[in-house]
Amino acid sequence: MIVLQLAVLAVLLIPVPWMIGRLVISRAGFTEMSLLTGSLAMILAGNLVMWACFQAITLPFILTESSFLLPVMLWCVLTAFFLFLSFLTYRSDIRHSRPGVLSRVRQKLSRTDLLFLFLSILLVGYQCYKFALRMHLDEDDARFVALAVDAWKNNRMFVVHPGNGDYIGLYVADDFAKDVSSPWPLFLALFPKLTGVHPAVFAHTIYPVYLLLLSYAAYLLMGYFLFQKNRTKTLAFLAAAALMQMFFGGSSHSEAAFALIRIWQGKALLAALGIPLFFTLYIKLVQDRDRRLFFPLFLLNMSCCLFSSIGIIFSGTLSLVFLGWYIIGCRRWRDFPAAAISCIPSLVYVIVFIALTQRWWV
Amino acid sequence: MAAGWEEMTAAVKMAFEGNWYLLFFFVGLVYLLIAEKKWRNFTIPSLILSALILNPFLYRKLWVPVLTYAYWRTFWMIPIVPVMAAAAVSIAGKCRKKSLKGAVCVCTAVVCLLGGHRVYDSDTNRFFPITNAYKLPQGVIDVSDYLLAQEAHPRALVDSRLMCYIHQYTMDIDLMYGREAYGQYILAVGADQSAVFQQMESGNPDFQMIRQMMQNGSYTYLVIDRAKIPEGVQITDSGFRFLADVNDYSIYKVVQE
Repeated sequence: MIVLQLAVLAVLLIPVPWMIGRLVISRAGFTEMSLLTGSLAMILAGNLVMWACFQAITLPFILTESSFLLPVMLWCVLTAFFLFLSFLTYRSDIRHSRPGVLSRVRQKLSRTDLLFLFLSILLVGYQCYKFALRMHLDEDDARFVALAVDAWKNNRMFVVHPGNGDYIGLYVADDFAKDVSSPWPLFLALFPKLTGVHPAVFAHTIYPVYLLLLSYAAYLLMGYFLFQKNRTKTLAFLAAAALMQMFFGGSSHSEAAFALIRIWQGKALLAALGIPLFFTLYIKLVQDRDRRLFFPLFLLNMSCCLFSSIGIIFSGTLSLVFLGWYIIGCRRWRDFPAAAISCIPSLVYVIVFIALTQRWWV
Repeated sequence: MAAGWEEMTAAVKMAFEGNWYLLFFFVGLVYLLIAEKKWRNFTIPSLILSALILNPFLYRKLWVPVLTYAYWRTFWMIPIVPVMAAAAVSIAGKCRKKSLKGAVCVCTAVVCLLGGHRVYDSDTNRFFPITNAYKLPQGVIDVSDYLLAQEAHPRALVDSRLMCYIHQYTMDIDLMYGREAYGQYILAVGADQSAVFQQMESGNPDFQMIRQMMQNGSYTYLVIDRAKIPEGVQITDSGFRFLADVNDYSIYKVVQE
C-alpha cells in the first residue's frame, strides 16, 4: 500500500509537471536546452501551472465553506486537461518539426565540469539529507500542518481553530485572512488527499527534498542564462550558490535559514524558490526580449500569491522594480501591456486580502 | 528620520547577525556593475531595489505599515546569493591561468566559510534524529493514539510539550489550548485558557482549579509531563482518575461528580 502511495506521489511530482511544463516552456521561447536544464525548466514550469491553478480555483470554495473535495476534483480536471493539451501539442510539434525544448546535441563533461558537478551534488545532497533523514520541529507548523491535516481528514478549509480544534466558522478578519488569500496549507493537503500519505509525512519528509531540488534547479537555470549556456560556469555558479546558502546563517531570519530549515512552509518556499525563480525568468527576459516570457512570470506571480501573503507583496514589488526597469530602462514600451498583465495576480490578491480583513462582502 | 535609521539598522543587524553577506553582496554588486556591462539590466534594478529596501524613509512610510514586524523579510528580495555567486564565477572566468581560477574558487569558499555561519549551527535551526515517519515527537503519537483509543473525539488538556504538535498528527482531539497559549500569536487565547496554562507551567499547579476549568469546558482528559508533577502531590486527590503512563506523560480522566 505504501509503495503504491509513493508511486502515485512520484508520478504527481515528476512526470505530470514535466509534461505540463513542456506545454509552457515550449511556447515561451525555451528551446535547444541541454537534457538536464531543459527537463528542470519543464518540471519547474509544470509546478508553476499546478500551483497557479490551485490558487485560482480555491478561493471561491473557501469563501462558501465548501468541502475540500470540490477544489481537489476541479484541480484534477484542470491538470488532466493540461496533460491532454500537452500531449496534443507534442504531437503537433513533432509533425511540424518545430525545435524542441531539449537539444539533440550531447556534449561530454570536462574534468572541471565533473568537479563542480560533484561539489554541487555533495552540497545539495547534504542539504537534502537533512530534510529527508533528520527532523526539525517548528512551532509555526502548529498552524500550517494542522490546517492541512484538517483539510485532508475532515475536508474542511479554514473553519477550525488550528490551536484548539474548535469549529469557529470561516475566519477571514484580521491577521488570519492571510491564510484565506494564500491557502498554502491546503496545497499541502492536496497531494496527500490524492495519495493517502499523511500530510505531516508529506510536508516534513517528502516535499522538502523535492522543493529544495526545485530551488536549486532555479539557481542552475539562473547560471545557465547568466553565463549564456556555458556549462562549466553554470555548474560553478550552482556550487557557489549551494555553498553560500549553507553558510548564510547566524540568525534564523535569513532567506537561507528559511530555505534550508523549513522549506515546506509557504513563506520559506517564497524565499527559497519564488524569488530566485523570478530572477531566473527576468534574466531570460532581458536576454531574449521575448514577450512570451511574461506568461511564466504571470504563473510565478500567481504561485507566490499561493505561497504566502508576503508573496503577494514581494512578487508585486519585484515586478514593479525589475519589470519597470525592463520597460523604461530597456525602452520596451510595447511590452508594457504584457508586463502589466503578468502583475495582475498581485493586484487582485492584494484587493482580496484587504476585502477579507475589512469584511467588505458582509 | 534618525529614529527610522536606527530601527532599520537594528533590523539589518538582527537579520544578518553572524555573517557579512550584505557587505559581500554590495562588493559583488559594485564589481559586476563595473566589470560585467552585459548584466546591467540585472544589476542596476538590484541596486535600485536595495536602495528601496534599505531606506530609512521608506522603512517608516512603506515597509513597517505594510509588513509590521516582518520588515526583515524584505531582505529576501535582495539577490544576495545570486550576485555573490555570479561575481565569484565572473572573477574566476576572467583569470587566464588555471591556477588563478582555482585560487579564486578556493578564496570564494574561504570567504563564505569565514564570513558566514553554517545555517544548521544556530540554536533555533537544529535538526535531530528522526523518531517516527511524521517527524513529530514520539510522545505526540503515543498520547494521541491512547486518547483516540478511549474515544473518537476526546477533549483534552495537554502538556505544553505536546500542544503545538498533536494537531499535526490528528485533528480529532480537541485541546483546551494550542500554540496561542504562549501569547503574541495571530490567534488570541481566552482568559480562562490562559489562566490554566499559567497554572500548568507554574511548577506547582492548582489541580482543583484546573479540574474546575476542564469541567466548565467539557474537557475530559488531562495529559501532564510526569516531571512537572510536584513531589508528594497526588493528582487523584483533586478529582482525577489515573488512566495510564504513556511515554513521558501521565494521563488522567476527570471524575464526574
